Amino acid sequence: MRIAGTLISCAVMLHASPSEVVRQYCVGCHNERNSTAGINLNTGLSNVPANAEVWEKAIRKLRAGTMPPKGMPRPDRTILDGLTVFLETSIDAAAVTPDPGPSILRRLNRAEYGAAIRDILSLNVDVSALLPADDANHGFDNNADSLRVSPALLEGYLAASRKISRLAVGDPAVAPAFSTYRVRPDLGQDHYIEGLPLGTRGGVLVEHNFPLDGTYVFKTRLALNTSAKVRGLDFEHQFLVTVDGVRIHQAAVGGPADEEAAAVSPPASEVKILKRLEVRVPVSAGPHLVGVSFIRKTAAQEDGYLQPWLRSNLDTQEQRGIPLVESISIGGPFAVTGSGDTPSRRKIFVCRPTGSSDEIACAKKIIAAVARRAYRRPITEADLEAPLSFYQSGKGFEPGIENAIRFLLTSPEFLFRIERSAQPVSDLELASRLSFFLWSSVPDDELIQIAGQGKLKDPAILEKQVRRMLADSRSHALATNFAGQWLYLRNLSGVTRDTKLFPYFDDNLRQGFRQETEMFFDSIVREDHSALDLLRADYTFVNDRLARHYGIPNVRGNYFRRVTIPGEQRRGLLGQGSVLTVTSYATRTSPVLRGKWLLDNVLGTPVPPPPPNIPALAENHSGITPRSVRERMEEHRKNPACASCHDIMDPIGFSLENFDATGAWRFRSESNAPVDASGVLVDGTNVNGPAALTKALLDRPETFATTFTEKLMTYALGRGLEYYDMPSVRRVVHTSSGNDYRMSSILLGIVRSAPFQMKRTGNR
Amino acid sequence: MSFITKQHLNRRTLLKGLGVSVALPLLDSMVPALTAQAATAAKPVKRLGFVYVPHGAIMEKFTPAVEGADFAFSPILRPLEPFRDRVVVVSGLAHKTADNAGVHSMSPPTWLSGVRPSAKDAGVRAGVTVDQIAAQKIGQGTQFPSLELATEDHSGLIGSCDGGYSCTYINTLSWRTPTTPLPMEINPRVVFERLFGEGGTPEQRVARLQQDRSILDAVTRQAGHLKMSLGAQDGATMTQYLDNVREIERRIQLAEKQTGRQGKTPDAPIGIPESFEDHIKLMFDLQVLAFQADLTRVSTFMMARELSQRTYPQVNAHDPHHSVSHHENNPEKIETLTRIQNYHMQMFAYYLDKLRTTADGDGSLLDHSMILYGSNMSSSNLHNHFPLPTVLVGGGSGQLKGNRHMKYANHTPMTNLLMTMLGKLDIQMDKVGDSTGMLADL
Repeated sequence: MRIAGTLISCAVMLHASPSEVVRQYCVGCHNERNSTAGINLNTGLSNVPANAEVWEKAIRKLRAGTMPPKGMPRPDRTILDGLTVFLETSIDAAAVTPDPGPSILRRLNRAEYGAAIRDILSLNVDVSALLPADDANHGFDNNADSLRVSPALLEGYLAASRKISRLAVGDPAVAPAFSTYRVRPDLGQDHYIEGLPLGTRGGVLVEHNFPLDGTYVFKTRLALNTSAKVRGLDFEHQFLVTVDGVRIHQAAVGGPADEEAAAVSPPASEVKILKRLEVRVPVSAGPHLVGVSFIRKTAAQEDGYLQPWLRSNLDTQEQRGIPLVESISIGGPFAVTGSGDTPSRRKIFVCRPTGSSDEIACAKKIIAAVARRAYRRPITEADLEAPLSFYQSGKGFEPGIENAIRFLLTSPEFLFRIERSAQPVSDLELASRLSFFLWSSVPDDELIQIAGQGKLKDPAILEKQVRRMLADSRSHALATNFAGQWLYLRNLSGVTRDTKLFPYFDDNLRQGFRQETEMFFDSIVREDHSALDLLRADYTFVNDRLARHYGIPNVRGNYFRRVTIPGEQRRGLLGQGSVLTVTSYATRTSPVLRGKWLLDNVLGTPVPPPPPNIPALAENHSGITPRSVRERMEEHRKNPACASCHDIMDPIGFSLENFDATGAWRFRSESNAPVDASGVLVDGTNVNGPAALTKALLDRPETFATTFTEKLMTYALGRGLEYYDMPSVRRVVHTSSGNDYRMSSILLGIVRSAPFQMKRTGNR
Repeated sequence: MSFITKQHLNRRTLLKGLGVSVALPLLDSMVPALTAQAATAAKPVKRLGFVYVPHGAIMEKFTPAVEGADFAFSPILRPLEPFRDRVVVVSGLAHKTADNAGVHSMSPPTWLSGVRPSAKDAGVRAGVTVDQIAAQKIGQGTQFPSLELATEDHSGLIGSCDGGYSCTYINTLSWRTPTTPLPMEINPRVVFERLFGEGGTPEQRVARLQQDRSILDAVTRQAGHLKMSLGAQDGATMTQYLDNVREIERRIQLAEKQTGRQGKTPDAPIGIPESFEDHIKLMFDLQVLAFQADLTRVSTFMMARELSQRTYPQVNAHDPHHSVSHHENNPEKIETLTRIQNYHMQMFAYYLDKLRTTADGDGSLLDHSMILYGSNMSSSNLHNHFPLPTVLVGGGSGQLKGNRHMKYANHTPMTNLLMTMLGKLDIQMDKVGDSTGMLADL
């Protein structure tokens, strides 16, 4: 009987043992003889942990819902879930003391070096002009395996240590030099820019380190139009230079006289105008905010007719318009009056010798304090020998300190993260693991002190320290370095959009996107929200520009503030311009890139890279180019070699088609047809539009929580995760699931995990 | 304190820096009082250069129609016509080792080595590249055995290089050892300061170099102590570090000898120019300057990066480079891609022109150089590695005869060309990667 038959098969399946499920649905392809994809699952389920490396691969496929593949017999999802849980439980039960993986000696990366200099010497430096860029591996540039040493890097360290120690100490022998800061040509300068004086428009704000008390010269260049004249001379504008918000210079640009002179000789008139903008003033040593801008005129005098509310410098042929800042150069020091009082000097000179008798004692004290921060541990007498000999090679007290600091900054004890203790890691090593994870920098005095006393492993103290560190502003590094790479935010700076299709896309928007997502990520961490809020939060951070881009009403002013998002479509990361822009092309959206991004970073099931020797696509017989992106992708997927992966990637990406290549909402696609945002998830779930996609992702919250934990753990450990790390990952996910995946429970879970606390001994 | 204040500022316009430089957009105006010491009419110094472009070429528009001398320049090669007497187009070559999944990660590290790099799980490892083999032999007398330069910030390519491979593979063409990839610098100012130091009087320069030396001495002692307390794997990293320290010490010794010789140091460029064209030209200027001053004899330059999404509005190419490289045989896209490839060739011609107009001994720098230009992909639509677009330019100090289109048997390993080039520098190798022999009559 048909009914009975169905009942029987249901009964069988409900009680199907994991072995039976594997036998029935897996080993047909994955057996000894025919190990498809190099996987043999016909090893029995009596000892799953012994074959954990293979079974972890199976678990990943099962979790993602990609196995058994489309077209093959496939049981109900609950049955597959049952198998997954069985496999995970078997492996995890055996992993009482999991292999914590190797701890590899590695150098600081460029971002960590810069943050360390900031925290050791109270000095902000642009590391990109000092050291070569680092290579990312497993998605992050703090990966031990890719942080190699090269001659160019060492030369960088030598030159950087010289410049930094000189600047930090305030070496009176610093030679005058010019630093030039350029404004990106696509920065809109029609409106107020935050940080500059109220009532101004355009320009740029620069944090500049003035090496000494002395006189400095400020030179500004203005943008030229295509006839090599300074732009916007038809009316008079007032140009303004400020230092820390105080006006130091004001000059007129434009008006009939300038316009006439420009008509006679553009270069001569430019020289004359730029001379008028130049100013020399005494400035005290240390970091100061230098601003150049224009006093804002009424809107009636504005001249951007293309999209006047955005930027008027879009049209390069534009002969009128308004003056725009192109670059500012700061030169000096001239007429030096002293080393001054800078944050760096206050940080370094914790004592002053009263005479020659206590000079050495004071020098020792200073060097020990800097060395303790740089070496991340208490300092011994032996540690002081080398820096003291450099101190003594200096001609005088301060030059001696400068030499000693220079040595400390080139020491391998500073440049490398060295862990010498046997397993588990020592308290001081744990302090460094913590600070480089949460701050991308060296531990502070409090952390070194607690670790030095051997108290850091006390669970209550460890938790208190983690919470303190997360509340500290230095944890912003998680947004810039972790989220910046996990979400590809760092790609934004190189993103351009076709100016004809997206005339409004400018540097203001680009930087705004990044700021929004960084502030959003910060808020999730600092306010200890659920990690799921990254996908579902009903709030974000915008200024007037972003609000207009997103269609959020009633936001005025250039500063970023928290707003509630109206409606459900733009909630969470998948509605943010940053993510939507870095996964698009200059001219159009890319469901492929968006699908790939989701698979890699949200679903945790990356697709393999494209094969070599792609067979040529069949000629387009119709002779008509498919018009919409969807049609073109469908054409592409007719090729089986492409389809095996694109069948997975593309349909997910289509659900975000309502967002254009800059993340703006649209109703019509590139081909002017109404947007079709219907997509399909890997496991076959149909989703239509971003809200449905987010909802479907949240239906299986452990998938996203696992991917997020994996990414965070890869970053925390500075190495790629291996199969033996998966029990630790699952422990973090399971524990935090009872706490709605709160950020603190995930972060603390990682900090408490075996790979973070332990290190491998001997050869495993 | 400062990082707290920063929270309240708008990062969009906040630029930070520790710049020490003077504005000067191009190095054109500099005439340094520097010449290669060793270059005499009797024994000219040989230079070796490599210029790499991503995404292959439209081969029908690259390969000249006829073989041998006096061939007609193809649309992509046309900018090289003024250098006809120095140009050898080499056809028929293939790079089998690049034939693997993750093609954009495979192409850069195999181009000059013919050795396939390891997959992700096996650690970051690739083959030693011929520029570095040459640097070990002909670069030891100069302060910099080799230069490695690029354009386009690779930190903006997150997510695209990780298909099973480390981003290292996509970021550099040069491997000093299988585990020492050399970073390619994109900032002209950093390159400039490496080459010429920070300026100042000769006495100041000597004092700085002496301090560098004593710092390195102390670092060597400290690293030596550290090494003893470390395990085998970590100890190996420290050994590598010490090897690099010794290399820098060698450079400093050479620099000390040369401080008296250096005339007025040219003014430094201010950083990465906004215009891509200015950036490329500046990087070429620096290479010419380094050859001219005999600061290096080997230079490797990645003119654009794999997967680059740059648009080239200057040649009416508004679609991103990588996207348009998957042209699907669409004639319009093929045209666009051809324009980009021709544009790259124009940039290369700028370099050649500079080399030709820079006197060196009894001839020009071009006479005494061998510059290999190419991509390690053939059709970007098919992701294949045969036939490769390859041009060799320069006199090679009498070793290379131009005005030729040499066609070798199909699928001849590219490494045969690399080995032949080394041979012309008197560097005899039994094998380079998967090479099977030398190229006849080159």
